[in-house]
Amino acid sequence: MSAASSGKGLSFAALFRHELRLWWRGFSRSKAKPVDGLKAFLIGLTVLVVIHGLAWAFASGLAAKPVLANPANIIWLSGALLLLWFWMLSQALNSVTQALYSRGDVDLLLTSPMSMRKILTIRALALSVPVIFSWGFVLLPLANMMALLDNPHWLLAYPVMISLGLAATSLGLLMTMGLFRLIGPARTRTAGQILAVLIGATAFIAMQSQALLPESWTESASAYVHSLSDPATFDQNALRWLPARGIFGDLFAVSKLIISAGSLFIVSVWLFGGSYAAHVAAMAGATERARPREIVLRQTAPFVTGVRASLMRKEWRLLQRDPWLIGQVLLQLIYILPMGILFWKGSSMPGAPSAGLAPMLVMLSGQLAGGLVWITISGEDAPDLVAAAPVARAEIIRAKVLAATLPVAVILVLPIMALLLQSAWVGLWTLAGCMGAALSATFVSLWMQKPLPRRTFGYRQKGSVVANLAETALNFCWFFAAVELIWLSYRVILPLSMAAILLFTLYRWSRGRAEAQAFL
Amino acid sequence: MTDPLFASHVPALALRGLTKSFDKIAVDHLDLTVRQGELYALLGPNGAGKTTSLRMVAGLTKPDGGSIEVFGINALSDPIGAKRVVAWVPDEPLLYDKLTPMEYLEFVAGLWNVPAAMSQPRAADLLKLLGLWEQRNSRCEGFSRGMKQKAALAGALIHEPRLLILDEPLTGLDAAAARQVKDLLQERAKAGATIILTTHILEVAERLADRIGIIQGGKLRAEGTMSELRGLIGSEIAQGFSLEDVFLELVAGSAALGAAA
Repeated sequence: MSAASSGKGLSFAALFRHELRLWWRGFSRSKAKPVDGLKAFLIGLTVLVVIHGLAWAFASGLAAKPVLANPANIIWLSGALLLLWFWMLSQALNSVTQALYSRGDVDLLLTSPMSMRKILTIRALALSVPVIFSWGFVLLPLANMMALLDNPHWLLAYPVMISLGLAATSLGLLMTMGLFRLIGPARTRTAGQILAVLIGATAFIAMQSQALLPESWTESASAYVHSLSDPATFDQNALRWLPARGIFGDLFAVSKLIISAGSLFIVSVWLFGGSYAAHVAAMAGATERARPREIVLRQTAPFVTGVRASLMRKEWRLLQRDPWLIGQVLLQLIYILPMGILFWKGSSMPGAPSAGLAPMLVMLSGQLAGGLVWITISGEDAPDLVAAAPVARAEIIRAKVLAATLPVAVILVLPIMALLLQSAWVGLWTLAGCMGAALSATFVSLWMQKPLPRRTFGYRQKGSVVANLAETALNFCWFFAAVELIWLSYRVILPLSMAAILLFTLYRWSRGRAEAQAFL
Repeated sequence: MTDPLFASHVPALALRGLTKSFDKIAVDHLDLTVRQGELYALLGPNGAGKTTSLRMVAGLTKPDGGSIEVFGINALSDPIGAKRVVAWVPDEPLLYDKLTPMEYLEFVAGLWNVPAAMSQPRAADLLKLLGLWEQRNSRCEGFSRGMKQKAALAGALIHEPRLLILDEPLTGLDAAAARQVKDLLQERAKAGATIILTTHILEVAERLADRIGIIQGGKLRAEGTMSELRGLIGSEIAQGFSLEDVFLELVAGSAALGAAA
């Protein structure tokens, strides 16, 4: 209790630990009780070993011939790091708005006898940890293996990644503050999250650009890189090459990078800190204060009669009025587009030039249905109201599932029609695959449901790791099933039986759980 | 109503031996009868089992034992039949942030299968009565606590329940809103509805209720009109006692009894 008596509050390290613990709990929130130390250590070790194994396989390919720090390599690596950094920025923006709006402890910390700057510095540092580790998790093991197989200088990827993460977090703070000034607290949350989605999606599409763009474009791009890398004109001291040169072993570049990222971080925390308390107060108020101009509907729509009609109407209204959710749906469409085009280009069949799209549609169907059914079933703000109504639970669930899957059908109907017109064979199997994927995603969402107020959870983040993994695995099963069916291979038995086994296991498992509910 | 089930001698609510335990016993063989058209207040200290008992009546919690009859309908064997005539209003308003009061009332009316031709004008009347008409097309997320509570109450009344159950209905309401809610409840009781409410505000029970039940440790300790409860203390000066005195005396007395036993 020395902290309380000293009057200075928690130490820097203690507060940082508290922040990290909150992050970790949020990350692994499915666990009702904490995993014991040894088990967590063993799981962590296994994951590390597996990732290092994969990294080793990849690195041994890369390191087959020495990777030189020539201008061309520096430019390519810089490009990759830039995209990576945009990804980090997207995540930083997201976590800054989340942390400001949804952590209930801000008032507590602000009223405690600790300096504002200390609190904010720690919070920002803690925010940068997941930003660094989202990709660091994959890339740092690769750096380890490259250091083993090629040259120790690859280990400098550590300070470089940390600097990039800090810079992204700083910019996230500054952008949030800018948005705040520009459009006010009420809209900053949504705008920040949409901005995060856009930046992330742009980075993702740029990563795929080589596969997507027509060949003449990629050729001119490599010609451009070639002209840049002309030793006569290549200015290797330019700031933009700094991170890449750091990874290639330039200690001077690394220290410059650390110093600039560190100062950017300090400056933005300092700038943000000045108005932090005011921001937090305004943001807390923003969710409670009425905003008549925005929320008033012009008129009352005529009522509908009946349980199913009114339930479906209510679910659609709630889906429509969730800009974050709509952003996530669009993002899934954006993410799946590059892959769709890849398949389209790579595989066509006589009579059905777009057959390659079919598996992507199946995948999309499963993902969208999984997300929407999950949020309509589990995201119920007034579960007691629905439970107290004179309606059988099965009827409620049927109406909700229908409300959630109809939008998916609307999105998919045109592409499936197009496929049907090209070839009845391809079209019908696509339809069957889409329905199978949507149905199995629905079942997973039903078995794993966890009633929560809607604003407290994300669209794709299921209540448990198992549910997320199962759904992804099932989507892949249906994806491959569609591929095998369309190309008429007996191997279709494999993904289909996998899907059946997965569904059966989940069914048994969820029935054994206390929170599993009576269903259908 | 010509339905014999709703004949006036049938109690609105009859609990017999109702029992529920979670980690410890919450409701302990509770017997309770509420007559039709009565405004009944259930009074008790925190953790006495008030909310658990009423949640079981609303069909939200399954009892371990005992029976629940709502207007003669067995709520355990025919839960949907019982739910048709009951409305449940908890202390945390059951609302949707992103819906307007009108849309909310449409949804609730739909759940109870009230035809749109009836529910839409009724919704307008209720919102006018509760002073929410101006906000009828604004989303509930911007509402104050009192407005949310009133919107939830409108939702409970939209299907004209014969039995209205309210858990701490006046919590967090300002004086004006509390007055509106109290007036509305009394008006509904006069119109023939049966109302059960829990409260820890003794004055509310004293002023509103026809009969008061005092519950502690999951059991009904005392029951009666205000003057009957005063008589229970058996003191000459009891006539000057407020309900608070009676309540504290009874709760302390039964605690002492429990300790002695």
